[in-house]
Amino acid sequence: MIGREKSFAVLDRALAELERAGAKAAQAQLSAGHNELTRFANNYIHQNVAEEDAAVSLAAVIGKRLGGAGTNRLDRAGIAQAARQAVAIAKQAAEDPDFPGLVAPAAAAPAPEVPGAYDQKTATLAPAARAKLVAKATQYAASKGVVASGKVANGAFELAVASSLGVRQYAAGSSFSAAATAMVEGAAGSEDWAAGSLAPLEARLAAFGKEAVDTALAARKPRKVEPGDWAVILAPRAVSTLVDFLIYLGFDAQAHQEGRSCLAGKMGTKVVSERITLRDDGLDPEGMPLAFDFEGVPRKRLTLIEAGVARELPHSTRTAKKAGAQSTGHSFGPLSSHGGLPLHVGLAPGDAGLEAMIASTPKGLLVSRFWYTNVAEPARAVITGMTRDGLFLIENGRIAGPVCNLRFTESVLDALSRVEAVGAELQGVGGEWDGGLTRVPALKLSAFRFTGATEF
Amino acid sequence: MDPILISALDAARVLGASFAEARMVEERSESYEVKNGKPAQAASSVSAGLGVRVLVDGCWGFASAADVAKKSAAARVAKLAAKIAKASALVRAAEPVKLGAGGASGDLQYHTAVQEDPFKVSVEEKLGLLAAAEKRLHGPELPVTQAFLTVFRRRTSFANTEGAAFEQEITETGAGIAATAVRGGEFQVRSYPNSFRGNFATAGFEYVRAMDLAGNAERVSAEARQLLDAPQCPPGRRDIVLDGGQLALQVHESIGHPIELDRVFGTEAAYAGTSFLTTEKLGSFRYGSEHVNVVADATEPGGLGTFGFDDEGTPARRVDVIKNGVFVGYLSDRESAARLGLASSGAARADGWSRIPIVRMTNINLLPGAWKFDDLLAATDGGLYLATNRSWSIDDRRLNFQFGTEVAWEIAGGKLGRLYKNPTYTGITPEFWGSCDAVCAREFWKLWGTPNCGKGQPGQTAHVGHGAAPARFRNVQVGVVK
Repeated sequence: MIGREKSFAVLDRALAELERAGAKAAQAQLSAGHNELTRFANNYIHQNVAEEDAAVSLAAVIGKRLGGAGTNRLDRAGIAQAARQAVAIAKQAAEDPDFPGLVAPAAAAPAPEVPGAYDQKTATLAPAARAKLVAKATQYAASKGVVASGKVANGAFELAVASSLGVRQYAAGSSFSAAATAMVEGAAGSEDWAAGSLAPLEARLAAFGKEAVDTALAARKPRKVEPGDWAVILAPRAVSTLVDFLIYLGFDAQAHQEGRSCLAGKMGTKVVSERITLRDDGLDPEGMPLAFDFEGVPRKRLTLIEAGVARELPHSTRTAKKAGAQSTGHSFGPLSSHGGLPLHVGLAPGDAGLEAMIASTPKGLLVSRFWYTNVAEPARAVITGMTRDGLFLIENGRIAGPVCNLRFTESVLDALSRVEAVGAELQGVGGEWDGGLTRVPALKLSAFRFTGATEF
Repeated sequence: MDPILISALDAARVLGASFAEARMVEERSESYEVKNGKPAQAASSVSAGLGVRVLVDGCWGFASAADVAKKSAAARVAKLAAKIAKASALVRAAEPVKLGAGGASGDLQYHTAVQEDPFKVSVEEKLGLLAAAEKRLHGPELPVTQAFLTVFRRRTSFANTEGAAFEQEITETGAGIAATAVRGGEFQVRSYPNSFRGNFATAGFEYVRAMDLAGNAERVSAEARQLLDAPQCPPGRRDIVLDGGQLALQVHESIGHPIELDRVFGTEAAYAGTSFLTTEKLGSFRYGSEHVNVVADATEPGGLGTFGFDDEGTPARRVDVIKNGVFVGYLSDRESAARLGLASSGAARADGWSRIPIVRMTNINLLPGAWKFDDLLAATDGGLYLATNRSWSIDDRRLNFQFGTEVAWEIAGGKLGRLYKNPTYTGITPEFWGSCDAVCAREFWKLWGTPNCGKGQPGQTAHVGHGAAPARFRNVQVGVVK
């Protein structure tokens, strides 16, 4: 850990170098951290890695011109070189009449420290401790004649932002994740846990690997079913895929302003089932909290969808200016060409248990997770992907057995308009694009469109 | 040899490593975007560090750090790698890791042949070139017009305890344009020369100058607008011709990934998945028709998977993958190849200093056939010509795939006719390649760069290449989206 004081010392040096090089205003950001990951396959550890890095990202402003440079060479010469490069780019770039300027300190009051965001035990978990967790999964798998694969990872990060206008923000956090995939006789099951610290996952980790192994055993000898419209119960990991794509396709303020969002012109209207309420909360200690964005603006809690109605959009300073609004603290930084996006999304839980959802389904499919999902038609939020690691037929309110994996091609908006029940229990799922945590329950949908089948 | 590398290897030996390799890597990049007449991105970055991988007691450990200017820091990284390897031994395989034949010994050098160093072209000129092209995209119903440019350079200093060592400098350049047409709640994108920021090569700035971005801009904008009025691509089974860009991604997903030997052995099972291409299929499995010939060729000049040495020090090579439709070769590294008693195919590649080498694609090239493009259209009446990838998805054993492209044209009277929007097609890998009955000739063959291939945990992004010419596939399911 670099620490608050040293982080700002690095950033102050960078700001001084930017000014010396000719910047009229400047922002400097420090991202630092270490991550360690133990990976296993075929019931043994086959890859085991650690990395430690710290880098600055510098934005130089000259009037309406902006230039950027980043480096992980944090000695005097390295930072000075990056500062000169950022200024040189700014001097040669054309003016951007829409550049809103750097954030004023009044819009970036010091963000509160989120209690528990950094957990020392999680951040410093030793390789031997990770191996001990791996052994839980591999020993249980081996005892059942199953092959287990997966990872156990931990780490810590620091983010500091400072500007020549006086903005100063600092945050530190820890992260932990453990995932297992079990395979037997061509069938597979998996589990995946992620949180900012070990503590909330300890009960789950006591039996790490069991869910994956038991699912794989239950998924043996699948039968084929025809694609088509099926009632589905989506386990939390499958739900997280739908939510992540809805965020990506529908809640980018810049895409709204350019008319290329699936929710463009639909804010304030009902877009999905009234059973769906979606919030973004960068301060949620149960997620992976980060109290401010990459411009230094404190993150506001947003209600993205309230009882099916699209409500609030996340904004950067740039998109907020265009919308005549205030930044909500969702920027990726002044150098980013993207609009703001929420990174701490949670789907409000309901009151249904998974067993009750299954019991109330005459015929349907239980989906453990989706895989390799991609956008087929962005305007209608149509996505396509495969099921993976356990797909089960439900008949007469009971699980009737495993079935071969299917491909779905479905509009997220249509799918989430058919919600019949929302699970009571939330699970944190690592974001679709590495980073952030999506907290979701299971969902029951009256119909979901499968368009193809595979051979296993 | 760099004293930092020597320090790292010496420390690893003292700590009991039976094998160690050290890589110092510096990556520089510049990224530019002009959007709607204004600069949207102009930034550079540098990332440098040291990665040390060791075998202790037959198990792997790897550690990496950015701040390694001092020899003591190199020893610290090696010490952590050894500590991690000892933890790996707590849940070890029945057999210790065995490595196949290593790389060439001695101090070797390689650098991308570059006519015009892209880092020496001024920022003003780069942005000016983009602005000139982007301006010609402007028009009604086109609220988003973009031009992109990326330049990248990776310098690697490598050494291992077997005496292999090399210095390598890879330079990459890429650019492209895109226009988004919007009407009501609908929008359509056309791009050139490829989607997702354009096309990429190991080359200098001459590669971008030769693209003629400005000369293609008006066509791109016109096609984006025309797509708004085009009918939805009708579903059904059709003969299709894929353009080189889409075919490159088809090769990537349904050949490039399944031939990765680490996937076959299950070491990517928990994330990227496995492969249907189990080892008993080597040498006999019919992957496609006799028209399908594929090589993994890291020696092809200009490809994004072109280099002198992979990240285990194995010299670049060309390996047959599919010969006359029969599967004959995997992509491998030293460890996976040894399990089959083979030499590495030279495909161990790492994403910078902080990642271990894993089995990655090099240039996975579909070799050209004999057809003239116009002759192929003339012989495919009633078919569809699909161009420029828009989306991709494939199952975790690489069998069931579905792709979307930006555009499709009906083939009628030997020519491209009516335009269709939102085309998709789907299939099962060996059936699809079995339906290939025509591949266009060398004059239509081109290298396509894929700079965003994800794999591994922690995540690694590889830059890989695919040579392809347009090809025809019979009786393919098209248009699955309602």
